[in-house]
Amino acid sequence: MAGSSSRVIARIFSTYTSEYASLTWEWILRADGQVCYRLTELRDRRERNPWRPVTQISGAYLHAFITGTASAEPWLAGLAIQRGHQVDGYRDRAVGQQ
Amino acid sequence: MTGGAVTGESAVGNGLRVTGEKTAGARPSRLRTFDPVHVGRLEAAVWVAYYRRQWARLLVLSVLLVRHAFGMDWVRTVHGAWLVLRANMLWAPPEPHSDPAGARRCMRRFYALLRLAHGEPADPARAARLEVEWWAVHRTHQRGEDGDRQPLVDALSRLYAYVFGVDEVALWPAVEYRARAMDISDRWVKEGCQPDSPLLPAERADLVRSYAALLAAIHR
Repeated sequence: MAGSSSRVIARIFSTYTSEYASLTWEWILRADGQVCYRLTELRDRRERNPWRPVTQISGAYLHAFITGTASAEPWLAGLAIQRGHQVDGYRDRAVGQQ
Repeated sequence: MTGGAVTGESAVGNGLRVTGEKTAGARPSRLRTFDPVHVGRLEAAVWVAYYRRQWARLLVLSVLLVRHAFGMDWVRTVHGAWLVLRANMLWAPPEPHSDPAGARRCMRRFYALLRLAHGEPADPARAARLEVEWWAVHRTHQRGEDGDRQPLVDALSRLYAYVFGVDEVALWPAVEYRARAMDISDRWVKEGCQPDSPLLPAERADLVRSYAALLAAIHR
């Protein structure tokens, strides 16, 4: 699961910035359908953190993302936004939109 | 961080002291890598559910909050969420009917669970005592007997400093934002717990800022 070595088929970055902290996370979708994210920067310093599983997708969604008939990045961005993160270029998107 | 999120009164965190410096390439403890945005939003939702007496929702949110804040497995997460809820229930009645000793016992068991999962804190009883001490300071502050927020900030700083092994000064931003969120929550309760109140987004934003500042202070 979080340690899966399955191929990454989509990747985005999300952020949060306040007076005392600026944070960046990396979100990925793997070919086995697993979505994970991890903190990659804290106050402009690179960090190495474990992946955390967010959800698992399968079926038509996953097939569409793998074959490229749908773009996974906006969908990943929707997940990040749903968690309160900021994603450049995807500010108003919601999960499920593609 | 939020142990007893329920009444907005437990605030400990993820935490735990990691002895020694992080070595090159080493990953930080799971307790120090929480997502402050997600955890802050969850805790804000817990506070709302508690004050609006939405018990089923409160239970689900509390379990999720403990899971995301403390990074324990599901069995310990559910057990831990119950202990925090129970501690809040024992604490909640107004004096002299509240049971601080019972609340401390529950929180001691909660911190013992954390110690089992992550090896810290070293002394669950001490962490529980600091936790319930700040609940008491918050109660005094809530009643308006003490308009100064500093005693609340100091009590919460002591707890965080012990649990995370970080200097109190480094924790002040996190604590200040949390105290501010609690003040907003208290105002929201006084104004009738309206679900569409503009106070709620402000409270949520301050909780997120608090957790982000906490993460910045303890992540290593």
